Amino acid sequence: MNKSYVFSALLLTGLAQAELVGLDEASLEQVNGQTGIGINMDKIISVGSITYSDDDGASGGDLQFQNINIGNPANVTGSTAHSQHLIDVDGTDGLFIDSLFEATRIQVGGISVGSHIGSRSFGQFVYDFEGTNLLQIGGATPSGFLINSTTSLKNVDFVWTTNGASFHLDNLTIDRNLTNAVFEEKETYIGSGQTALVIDIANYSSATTIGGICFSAADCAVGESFGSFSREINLINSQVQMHGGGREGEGITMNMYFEFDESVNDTGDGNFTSYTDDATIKLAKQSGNVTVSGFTFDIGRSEALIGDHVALQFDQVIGSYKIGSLEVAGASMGEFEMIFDFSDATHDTVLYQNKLLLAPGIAFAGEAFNTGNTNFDAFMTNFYSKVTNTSDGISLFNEWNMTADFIYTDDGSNLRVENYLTYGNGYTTLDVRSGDLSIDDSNEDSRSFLAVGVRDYKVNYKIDGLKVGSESSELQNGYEFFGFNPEANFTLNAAIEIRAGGSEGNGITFDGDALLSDANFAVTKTNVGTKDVGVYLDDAEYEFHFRDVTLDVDNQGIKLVLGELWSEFRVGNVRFGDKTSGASMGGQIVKSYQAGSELIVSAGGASSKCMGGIGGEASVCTTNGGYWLDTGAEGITLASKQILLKRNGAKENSATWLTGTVNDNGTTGDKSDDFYEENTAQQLKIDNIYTTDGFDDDTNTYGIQATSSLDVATSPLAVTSLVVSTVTKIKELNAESIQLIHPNALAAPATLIHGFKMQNMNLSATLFVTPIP
Amino acid sequence: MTFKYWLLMVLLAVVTPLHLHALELITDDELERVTGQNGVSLSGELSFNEEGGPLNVDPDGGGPMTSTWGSCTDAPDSRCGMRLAVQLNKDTGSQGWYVLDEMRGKISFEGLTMRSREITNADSFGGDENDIGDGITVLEFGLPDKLKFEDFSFNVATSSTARPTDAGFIQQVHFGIDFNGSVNMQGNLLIFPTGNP
Repeated sequence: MNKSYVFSALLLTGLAQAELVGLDEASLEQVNGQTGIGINMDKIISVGSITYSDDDGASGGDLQFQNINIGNPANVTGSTAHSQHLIDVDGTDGLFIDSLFEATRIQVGGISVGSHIGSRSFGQFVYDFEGTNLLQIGGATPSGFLINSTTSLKNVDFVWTTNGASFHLDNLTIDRNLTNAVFEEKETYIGSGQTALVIDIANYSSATTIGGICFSAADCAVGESFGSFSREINLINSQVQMHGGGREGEGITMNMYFEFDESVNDTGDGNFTSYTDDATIKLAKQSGNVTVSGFTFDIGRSEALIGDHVALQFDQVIGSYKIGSLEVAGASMGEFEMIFDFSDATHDTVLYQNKLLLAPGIAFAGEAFNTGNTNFDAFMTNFYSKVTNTSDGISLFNEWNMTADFIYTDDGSNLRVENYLTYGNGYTTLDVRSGDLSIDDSNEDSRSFLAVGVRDYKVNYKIDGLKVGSESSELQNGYEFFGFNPEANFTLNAAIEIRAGGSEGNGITFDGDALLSDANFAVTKTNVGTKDVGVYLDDAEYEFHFRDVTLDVDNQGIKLVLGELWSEFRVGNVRFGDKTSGASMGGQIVKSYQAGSELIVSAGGASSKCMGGIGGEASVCTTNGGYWLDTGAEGITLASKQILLKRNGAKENSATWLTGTVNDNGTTGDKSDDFYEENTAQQLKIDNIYTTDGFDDDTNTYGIQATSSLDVATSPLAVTSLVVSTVTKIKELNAESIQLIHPNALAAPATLIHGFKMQNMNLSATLFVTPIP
Repeated sequence: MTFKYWLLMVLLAVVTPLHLHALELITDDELERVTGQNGVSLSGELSFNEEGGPLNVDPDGGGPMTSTWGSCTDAPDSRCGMRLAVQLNKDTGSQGWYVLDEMRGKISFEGLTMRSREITNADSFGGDENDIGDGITVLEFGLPDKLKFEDFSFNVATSSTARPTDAGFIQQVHFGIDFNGSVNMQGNLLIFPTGNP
């Protein structure tokens, strides 16, 4: 059930009971001609705290809402919020409550849990709204309550504030219709011998718009907002089961089933979600269903790093979700479907459960980090030095295990990503900070931002491969052409800042530092009986920094302007065979340094064209002996521009192959003298790679420009294929030298090639990717 | 493709000559055995500078020369095509550049396969399998059945400067090559690590 609906219901029940007032003459005049009772309420409500507790001695704890105020948004503690309620009882249809809410604010001064209460909280929350609600409660057949409800809210604002800075959902409209919901207590729905409140929902519709999202308590200004959002969802035949008792002792347990009403997809966008900047991304014609089993809500104790917490956990979530048309700037990429199963599972003797633990405050504030990479540690330590252990915010521990199939449909032809498996766990912190606390001194002090910290996030995933066509098609590769790794394991640490506003107008801006360590990436792999063999990048570490990266949506598509990027990708062993014990061809170090690069993702794949002949249309092409490649209207296109800069201090573009590395310092678990002591290796280095515009060594605006398109279409061999089309253009690509570096003469490398310059390259490729016959 | 992977591919291309081994005929039995396994078969075409892109253009006639993207027909007096220049010596002796210039043309192919493959004792490459060893994984490229060249051409030259637009540019073209026609290929190219990593 949507949170806003629950919230509205709470308003109706809780507030109406709390604030019965006498009817004055004017109020009586307003209800003239109707039966029933009219109630006018002008209210200022202040509550010191409300505490929910599932503490039974052995487990559980308190969840406390502090300093709650309800009143007029202009002065929540000094001006009244007015509402009007007409109550009628009909002998046939039951109880009607027709309510009108004028501008009202609900303000919560803090939410905290367990031992954190009194020291730090999730932050302050403000919810402003006005609107109407019609609630009808009657008797259901054969038993229970039959409830219908219509809610319409406008001028809704939600503000989350931590440490004096605010995140703002601005100017929402919310419309909800609950039709023929039956509330009934039934036996043995959850657990043996227990009863549960069962809510059968025949129909539920929801429409929400968000005018702007920004980091300001005031209204979002143009150019300082993420953009606007809109969503319409219709559900049918859904059910919620709820009873007392959590995963440990007291608490709440729920089973749920939700199903999209697909009939609304027959016209217009149907069930849709959209984001609008200068242009719109729309997830239209959504369908599917989800079954949630054993969802529990508990107050947990003493998690190792975040302490007492709210624990949300479920036994299983299974279902499917389909986007009938993913549209970017008015053009369709095609259909996307995901069939998923979140169920607990054990990998390498470790049990991975699907759960989310939330604790107030910023668990790692003020800590000195030790990721094993001292250069990167400085970035993380600086990020968390901006807050203290009493700062407000949200700390999360997340653990998951999921299997899924993904299906992309392009003009009616399918591309399947088979047997995706992912599991892992890790910590995240979220808080809103004022601009002067940014890790990037060039950012404006006045622009607050969302600070996202990621600590020891252990991520594992793999796929079996791709299939083109049906599920019975042969497995194949092809992901290599997109730089996608079919299997990976790594630990992520990251410090990321997210701002409102893009490169032009609204949008999103990112700054951040990230480290993937203890990593293993598959470049390509093949299943051989009970195992996989392939080429793997083992003992890898990827340190990545980005500044002023902006995301906008305009008529070109989803546009990433990449600001300044610098990274270092270190691979201890490129292994053939087993991912961790296969034969090694040595290690690699790839450094990248860019500024002003861009990536644009747009809908519509490659243009249809004549291959092996001449002709601008199918008939002419065929007549001239060619093959007309019809890629249809849908597809995905990525256009990139990479400006590679000359070396600037430690930042550079280079590629190094290392052999003969001393891999063991004799101390188990001590990696300080492993591959990372690169000075033990013989190195072949392509040094100081950079782009220029072709007529001097300084002008650098063109870079490497590549356009890659993905389609599913019929090949000249009459086989449905993954079609990869690329056009790469380079005006000038330079390498200062190619060096052989002996470990005993690091300062005096032998230069193999003193200069390399490639000019004027325009490479076009069209590849049909199919299974090996 | 990200820069990371682009460089990785370049690096693999560089090291490939060090490790390629053993052209291998594919038997019918082997063809049956590979059915249903991962890997990928590629068909398609690569086109180098199909639309050219003149190098040395003087937009207003008053100099200097600049690099401007466009069709070869836009600058008929200019050289057209991709240019690779490599300098082997810098401080002593010859300081010129070895050049592949004006590279253009199209290559199309059918049935190029790529997969990881575990070599076993059952494999026979005319004795070469002993150099690989039982249980070793190789990166196998199945050579395309047909490789077709269409006006694939380039010049081999030496030059005084890397760019033809640099001051003092003098270039000696030693010979030019123009490929047309088809090549039928059989066998596999196997790449695997050897020695001490």
